[in-house]
Amino acid sequence: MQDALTALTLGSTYVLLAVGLSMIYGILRIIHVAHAGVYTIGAYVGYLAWGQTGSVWVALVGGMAAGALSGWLIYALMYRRLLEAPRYVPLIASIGAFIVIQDLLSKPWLMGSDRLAMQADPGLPSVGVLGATVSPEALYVLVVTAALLLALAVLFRRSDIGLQWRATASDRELAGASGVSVERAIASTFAVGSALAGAAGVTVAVYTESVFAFMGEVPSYKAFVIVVLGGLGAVLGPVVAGFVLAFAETLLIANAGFVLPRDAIAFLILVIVLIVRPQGLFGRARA
Amino acid sequence: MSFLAAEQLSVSFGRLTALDGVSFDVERGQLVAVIGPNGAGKTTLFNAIAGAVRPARGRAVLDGRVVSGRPPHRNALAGVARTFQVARPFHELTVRDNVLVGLGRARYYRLGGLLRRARSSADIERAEALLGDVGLGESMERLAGELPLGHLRLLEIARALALSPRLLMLDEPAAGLRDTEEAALEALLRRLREQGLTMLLVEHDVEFALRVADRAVVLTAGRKLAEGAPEEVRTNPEVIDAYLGTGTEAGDATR
Amino acid sequence: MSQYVLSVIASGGVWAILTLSLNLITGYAGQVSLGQAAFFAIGAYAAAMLSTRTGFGFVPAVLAAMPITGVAAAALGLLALRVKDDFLVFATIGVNFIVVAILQYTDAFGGAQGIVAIPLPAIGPVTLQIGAYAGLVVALALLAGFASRWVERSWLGYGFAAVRQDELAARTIGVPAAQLKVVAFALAGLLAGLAGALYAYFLGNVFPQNFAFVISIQVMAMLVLGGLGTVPGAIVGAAVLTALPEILRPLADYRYTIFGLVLVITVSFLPGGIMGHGGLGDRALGRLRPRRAAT
Repeated sequence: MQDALTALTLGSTYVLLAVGLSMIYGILRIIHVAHAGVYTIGAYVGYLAWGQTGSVWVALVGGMAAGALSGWLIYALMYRRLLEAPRYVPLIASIGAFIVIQDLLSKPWLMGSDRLAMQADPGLPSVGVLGATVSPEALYVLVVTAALLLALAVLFRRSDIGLQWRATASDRELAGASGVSVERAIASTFAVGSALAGAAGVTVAVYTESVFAFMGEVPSYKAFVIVVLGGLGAVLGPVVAGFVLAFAETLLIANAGFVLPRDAIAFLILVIVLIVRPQGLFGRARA
Repeated sequence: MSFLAAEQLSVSFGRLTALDGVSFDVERGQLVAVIGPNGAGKTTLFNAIAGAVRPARGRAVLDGRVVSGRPPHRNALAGVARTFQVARPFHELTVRDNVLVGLGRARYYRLGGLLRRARSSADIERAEALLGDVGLGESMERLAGELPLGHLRLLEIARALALSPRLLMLDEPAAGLRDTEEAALEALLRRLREQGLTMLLVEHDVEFALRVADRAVVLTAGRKLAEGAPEEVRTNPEVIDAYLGTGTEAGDATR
Repeated sequence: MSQYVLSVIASGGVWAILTLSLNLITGYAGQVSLGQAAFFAIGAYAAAMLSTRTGFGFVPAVLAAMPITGVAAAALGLLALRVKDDFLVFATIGVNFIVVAILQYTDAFGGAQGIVAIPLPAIGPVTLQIGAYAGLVVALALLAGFASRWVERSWLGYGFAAVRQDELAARTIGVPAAQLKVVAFALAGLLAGLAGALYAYFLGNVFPQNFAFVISIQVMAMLVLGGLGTVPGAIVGAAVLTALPEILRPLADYRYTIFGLVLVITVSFLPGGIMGHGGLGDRALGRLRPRRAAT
């Protein structure tokens, strides 16, 4: 049971990161590796906000705002000029941007140390569930994830901008011709998706009690594993896939005496799934 | 037995039957056109014979050898060459190199062949001769991506001819061409036919198809409706009906 | 020349060979790989283990590392037959992480301690000091360059170009696309194995982190900067990005920032790379270009 709770918490952080990534892939068909850089920036800004106020909720807002801003900047300064280029071009640029973000954040003059301790108190209780315990930090992760996913669902289903996102993702030209402001739909997708990445960064920082420059390294690619498994560009798929991956990892580690580290599992699953289904687990073959 | 035989070819996409038991023959040296209204299954038939689509039933046999359902590169070696409805040249290569790639053939399958230099003077000469034949002698140094549509069609034919094919399959070669381009294409097809090349043409433009073809096969709704010499097909009431039924095609058929 | 300069030259030669290896797969055959460090690792570990555990000399160890890596790469090439475009990029990234994880967590490969105390390279009785070694590596890099040029002009090269630009069209004129992709990976494996083995002897010790994902990025940066699909580009790109952090010492700490910026700026503003001819849209990977609606 404790394992299941761990998996749920871990899965929540995966999902927060992967959903934004999937939204961005869906609308631009860009492999946005720098998304994990946004996540790291969110964690750092969350750390600073927490340092000033002592509140994890202010940290969350700060991290999300920083995420939204940096994600939008990456789009506006970099991707916007690369949309007509061959597919690999934005991918390589994105990896470049990610490396730059990580490398700069790791420099001592910026934050003093490359690994910062963040022993934040979420001010939440410990909760016992079926003999297992949800720590306050884990509860914080779960509450934030649930609230944000709910808000996202409402945004998607009930708002104009959600409709515009869906229209633009399904056919950019047609959406533009039907009066959707494609530019605004793309920019807001980046802002919202990146805010979620910022939130993921802050919740991981609170949960693991640390912030460091390379915290995005593994999540960046793991998020892609989730997006690929969930069907590139979908929104519900990555939510399911994120939890499935977290449970699979946790169970394999706990029970099977798996020799490789947790992080290799995702890639192993990815490679195997791609061999069996080259278009992703839920993806349809492209014409 | 005829040179190319389509035998009861059927193709389904999911529950949709795109082609339903179509049979016809092409004799050596003939140019046979497959015509029919939109959605009749022309392109599906083409792809089934060329190996791009696997038929659910039936087969296509070229000179005793099954070509349907076989990988395109194998068919290419066996002498089946094709062009595409939407031209697919190698954009970054020069026009000459586009044709040169097609001259490799068996050499792509042996290590000794693979590592040999591609631009031997004999191959370059051959490529240039083929380009001259189709009327692209002036454009050999240009990048294929820069050519206008009419020239791309000719380039694809030259590239296909590089295989020294026994059967040349043309997928709507006249689509989107201007009158002068269409005339050049027509003249080229006539020349190739005089040289004894067997050709199968899928064509939306009925007039063009019936002008160049020895015989025509008419498809509607995935089935063969009629077959015969251009004049028989042109005057066949069922054929006229089929085209009239689709409205927009009427002019093409009766013009 | 000082030891320091010679060792920079030797490492530049190793990077040039590795970049030429990536060029075969990505520049010629159009299959984007971001897992080149995995092949590099296999070559390095093969040579390191053969020399420290079975007593292979330098030359036999290097010559054995090449086909070992070639076979491993060809096996990965089979993956490229099923997995395409974006998915292939992910799969190669995944393979990089998996290989590093296996090296890191398997005792047979020395785990995190790596393989240490690789003997100095020697040919017969002659031990190669750094000067001779740098000369050898550079000579091999040039040889790899000539071999790549040979491939480029052969039927293999034409086949690669056709597959890169339009796989279906290539197949319809008799180019066996699947086989050629595997050949591209195998040849790239030979070169990556060579680079890895030379690197192992150069370092004297190999650790899993020498082959982390960021190394795959670094090699891609070198290739893109120099000019994708060109031999001079691969060599110049490797040379520039090896020398730059060394020449501008204060920048050495910002090595990865430089690599990252090189990637962003090159693909945004200098799409053909330094040595590339033709524009980005022309030279580069036609296969990954967004298809027009009509196709």
